[in-house]
Amino acid sequence: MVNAVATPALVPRPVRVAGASVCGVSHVRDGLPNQDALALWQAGANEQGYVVAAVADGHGGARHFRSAHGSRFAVDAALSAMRRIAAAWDAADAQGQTRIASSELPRAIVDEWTDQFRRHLESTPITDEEWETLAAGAGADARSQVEAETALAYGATLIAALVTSRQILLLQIGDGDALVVAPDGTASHPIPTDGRLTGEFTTSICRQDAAADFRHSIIAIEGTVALLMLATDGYSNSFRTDADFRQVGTDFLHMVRQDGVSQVEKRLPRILEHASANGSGDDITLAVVHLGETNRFSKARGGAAPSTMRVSEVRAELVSLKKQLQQYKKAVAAVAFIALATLAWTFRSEILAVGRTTPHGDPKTVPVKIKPGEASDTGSQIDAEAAPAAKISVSARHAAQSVKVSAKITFASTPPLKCTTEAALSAPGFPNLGTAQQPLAPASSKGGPIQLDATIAGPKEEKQRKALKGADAEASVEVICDGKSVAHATTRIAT
Amino acid sequence: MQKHPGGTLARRELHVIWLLDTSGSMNAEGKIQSLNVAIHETIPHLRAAAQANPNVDVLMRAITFSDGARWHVEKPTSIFDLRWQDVTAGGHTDLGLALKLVAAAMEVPPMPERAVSPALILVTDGYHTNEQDFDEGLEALMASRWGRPAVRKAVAIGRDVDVAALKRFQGDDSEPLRVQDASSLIQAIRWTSRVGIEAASHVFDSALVGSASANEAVEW
Repeated sequence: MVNAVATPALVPRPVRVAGASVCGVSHVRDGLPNQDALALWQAGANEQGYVVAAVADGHGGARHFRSAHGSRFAVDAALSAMRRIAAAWDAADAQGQTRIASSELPRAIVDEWTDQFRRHLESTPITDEEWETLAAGAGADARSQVEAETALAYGATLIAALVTSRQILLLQIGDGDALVVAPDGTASHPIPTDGRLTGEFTTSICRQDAAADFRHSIIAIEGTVALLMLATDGYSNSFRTDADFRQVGTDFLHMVRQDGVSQVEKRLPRILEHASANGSGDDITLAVVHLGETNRFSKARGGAAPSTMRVSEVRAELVSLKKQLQQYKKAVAAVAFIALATLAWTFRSEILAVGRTTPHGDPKTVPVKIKPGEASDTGSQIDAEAAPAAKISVSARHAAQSVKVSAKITFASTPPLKCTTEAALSAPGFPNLGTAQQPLAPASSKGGPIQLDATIAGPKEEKQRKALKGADAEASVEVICDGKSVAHATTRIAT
Repeated sequence: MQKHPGGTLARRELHVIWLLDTSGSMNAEGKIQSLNVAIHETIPHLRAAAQANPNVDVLMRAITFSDGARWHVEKPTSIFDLRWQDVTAGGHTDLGLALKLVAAAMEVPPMPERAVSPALILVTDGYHTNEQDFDEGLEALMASRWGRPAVRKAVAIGRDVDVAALKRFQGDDSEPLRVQDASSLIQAIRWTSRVGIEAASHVFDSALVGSASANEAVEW
């Protein structure tokens, strides 16, 4: 992912989800596996862009000798049940949502988990070696306990989130932490606490009536949540205080705004290993969901929550932007140099012919392609809200003082609705030169070749999209060099 | 180097508090001397247990109770830094006041909000002096933030011990460890103190339970 250059345009960013799970240093020391599990799922554009994230922590005691399987079954069960129920949840009224959150969904998850562990037990009966290890670790009576309640062997905690365009549904059984981070960086625990969770004591998906031990929270996203984090307790236990842990949420929001979720995801294993080594020693699993924030400065200016931006945050943002701008300038200069060299070679005869009086000459060929189609998955990034959309590809080989690219979708509605989106400007050897909201200007001061690849998304609002269903729509792109329109192309797209 | 997200990282603290009966009856039959020897001998074993769990800071404290109750080691002290000063005996058995003292220490603060469940090891050879103090002290302990989740183990020295009170302190149906001689006292203190430490890494050495009262060479 690349960062958007700030402009006043109100362009929703798609939801990004990332995660990692690392084996705790104490587990490595004791020869134990990572008993945590992680599951992430993000729907395509035709499934409303739902996101499901789940983390689970297999219990560490000797009786829970198959908890690494149990935690995997827990996240799988949550993912499966939440996917299944997502549309019904989204459509339900407040009362229905409470019913789903407090009873239907926990029951579905526990049932699914029970099915999974029983199937596993059937296909992989407990071995003599496992019984011996149990007896050595927990005494002779432990076997009869586990035989009477085989679920104990698979015991785990679970935290799961279903994210829709409007809301977050959080479910939790046992310890671990869900954190929501507001756009101003304030992090808080949204799920009610359970007084039974102290020290090493935890509720568990493996106990009878586990569904009744689930806690839940329903959160309206708009304007209140920028980032959601789910973590097994190995993470929070690595910090001196809860405030130290909540700072993680604030810092991660800053990191994803500055570097993007993909970059942060690459660093996650190292971050979590560092915390485990210098903190709890336990396995740590973290899921991060960056919600589709509108442009942060436009939001601050627009008055939605200007007072919530702290001076330090604004300062940090400005420093970050300054850094980006410097990098952008350097990259553009480098590209321009290469481009000029390429151009000089390609058009050496023409340049020689034109001479010094017309250094830039007339615009050369600017092939423009517009391909109708839906936005699709690109790695972990999914433009879930994009349909209808158009992929646009511009290849401009031109030397100019300025290049301006304007790309949009126009719907034949009353009044006409125009949609624009982020576009990535790139040049050979510099695949991620930067991005800009459309129109893109000035993009290059010294010449091409210039490559523009963009996906222009339709309206985000479900209501608007429904209203525009079937309406005529046209995607268009225009390339303007030194104030002259050098290329223009349009195509009809399906809505 | 890039800053890692979050505030200060810290290993989890495991607070172990010995509550030691230093009433006059502990002077009989060399019990108080044996108690001091037991603690001296236990410390290296606890250090070994702590070394096996480098992600846990084992912090020791001690309270003595006779006529009143007082901190013998007040500052939570790393097991690696603990230098044991022998305790002496004399007076009544104000166990209730000791419970009140430890109850106050189990609140947050002074305890951290994040920690491994503390271990409270009670060693006594008799009956507490004041029933009301005991009731109030136990109630305060169980109402404190870390008192209820604490691993609470009791060691009863000799035959004339209020076992019912110790069971109430332990909070479950399990029997307190009964020791009749110096050797088993060492084993008992070592085991009860290790329980908390090893629980932190889920290694529960139950084999030591049997050996705690195995040696009955010298009866009290």
